[in-house]
Amino acid sequence: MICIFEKLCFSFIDERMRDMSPEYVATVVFSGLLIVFVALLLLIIAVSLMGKIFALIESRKKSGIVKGPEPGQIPVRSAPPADVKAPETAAVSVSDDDEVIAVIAAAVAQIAAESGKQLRIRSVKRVGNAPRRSAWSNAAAFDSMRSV
Amino acid sequence: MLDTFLTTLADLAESSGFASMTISNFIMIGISFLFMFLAIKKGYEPLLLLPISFGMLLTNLPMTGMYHPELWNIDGGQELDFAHILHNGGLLDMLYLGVKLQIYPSLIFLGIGCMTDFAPLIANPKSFILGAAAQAGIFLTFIGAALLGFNGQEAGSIAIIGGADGPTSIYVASKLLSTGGPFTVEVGTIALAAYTYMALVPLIQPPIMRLLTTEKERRIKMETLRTVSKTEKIIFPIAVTVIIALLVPSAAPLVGMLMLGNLFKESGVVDRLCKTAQNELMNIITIFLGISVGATTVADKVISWAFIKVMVLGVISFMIGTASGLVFGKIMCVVTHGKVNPLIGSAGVSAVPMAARQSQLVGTEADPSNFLLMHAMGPNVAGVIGSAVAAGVILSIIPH
Repeated sequence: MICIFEKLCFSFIDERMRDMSPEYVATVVFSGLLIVFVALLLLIIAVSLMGKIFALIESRKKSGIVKGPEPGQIPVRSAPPADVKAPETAAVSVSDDDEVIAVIAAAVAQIAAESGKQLRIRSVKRVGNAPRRSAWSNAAAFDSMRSV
Repeated sequence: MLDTFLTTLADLAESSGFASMTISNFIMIGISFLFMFLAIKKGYEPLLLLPISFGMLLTNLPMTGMYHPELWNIDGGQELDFAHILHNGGLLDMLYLGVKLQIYPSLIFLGIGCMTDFAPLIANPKSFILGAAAQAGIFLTFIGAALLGFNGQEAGSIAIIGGADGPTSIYVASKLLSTGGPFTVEVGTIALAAYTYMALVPLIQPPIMRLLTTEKERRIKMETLRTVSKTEKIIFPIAVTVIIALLVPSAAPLVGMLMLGNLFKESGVVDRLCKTAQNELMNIITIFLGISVGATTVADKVISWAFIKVMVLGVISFMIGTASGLVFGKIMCVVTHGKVNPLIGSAGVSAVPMAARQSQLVGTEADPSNFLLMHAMGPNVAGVIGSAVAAGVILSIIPH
């Protein structure tokens, strides 16, 4: 009965198909779907690996920044250890500028050491998505406006 | 002298287009007006539908000599005679060369790459699965096209409509329908169907999304995506190009240009090139592509049962793609214990960003505080890559 049913189905299909056999159509469909899924699975693996590698690199960089700049690494004239706290980097909204954050932290530590004040970094934010001027130019502009 | 004058007038009348107009021309001109109305008044993909419909008008005005179908319709085993085309072709024949040589779709993908942000996809690579799932519409429609009597090349050209990607559809159709004719479909009819249904995504998708998901599933809120570093965004297009070009070389022109455009954007060092690719170049190519593809919509290819079958198969293809994306979205929801909203699965259809917007809108109906757009953009842009890969696979498997 099954053989008769299959023969009826395929004869119906054969009548409909002009130049293609059912086997050819099945090959196109299954191999096409398989290759598309395999290709995109490979991309999933590659992108996931890339994400994990970069997450590992960033976590290692951040663990280096959280320890803070040690007194021996910053050229400070007079550094009373009791009055200077290691600058804390709070939640940062910039994900790939860890060197910039480290430089800012070092600069703040030096200012704190020279002024004797206790300073804490609360956040580091990028000014605007696509600034037309550099950050230094923006800072200069703000400074000029403040003085006016 | 009067006789000469009258004879000249008679000759001019005979050589005018009025004398050569047939019923088919009237019908096609009417159809071109309809598509112009849809593009201008209704806003259905006007950037391409308007030049396509005007190309349709120009080619169906008789005696203009702008497009010659006989130059492009060659029988099996023959090759295009480009010297003959250059000598005897009209304006639209010259512009159509860019389609036949697969230049326009690739350059459009360059511009699309410059405008696409792959960050949601990089942040959640599992979205690739949804992009792949939505391409099931392409291959299942191939079965339908075969059952309706189309041959392999025609069926492949029709099936790719389900990828919901106009340039990809044109790229595949122009390659498959170049040799081995005569065919019952043309690049223009494929493009017309593709762009019409892309414009109808807001009508086609929501009912299927509501049918295949429950209220509870539509309310699922997804976790915020992680931040993607600039370095990752730069490495991504390079990695995708290498992997896909090695696995499916036929997909290299489309995927390669897409990723090149994205690399222009993410590198940040070729701002001029990026701006040119997504503005001036994209606009020029869109004009050339639209008008030349529209020129192929001659009467005998559109006023035919084959065109009606193409339109029916096109909408079925879209529906299957949406449904398969949703089904995989539901599977991911179960596997992740409710962390994935199945609605983002329908965004695997590569109509960017309309499909993602539909996920957002249907999700907002269930819960106004639910923001799914960025989550849906991941599968949406994955669908662009998926449809390009599917195009390469079709070109590899189907002999042409």
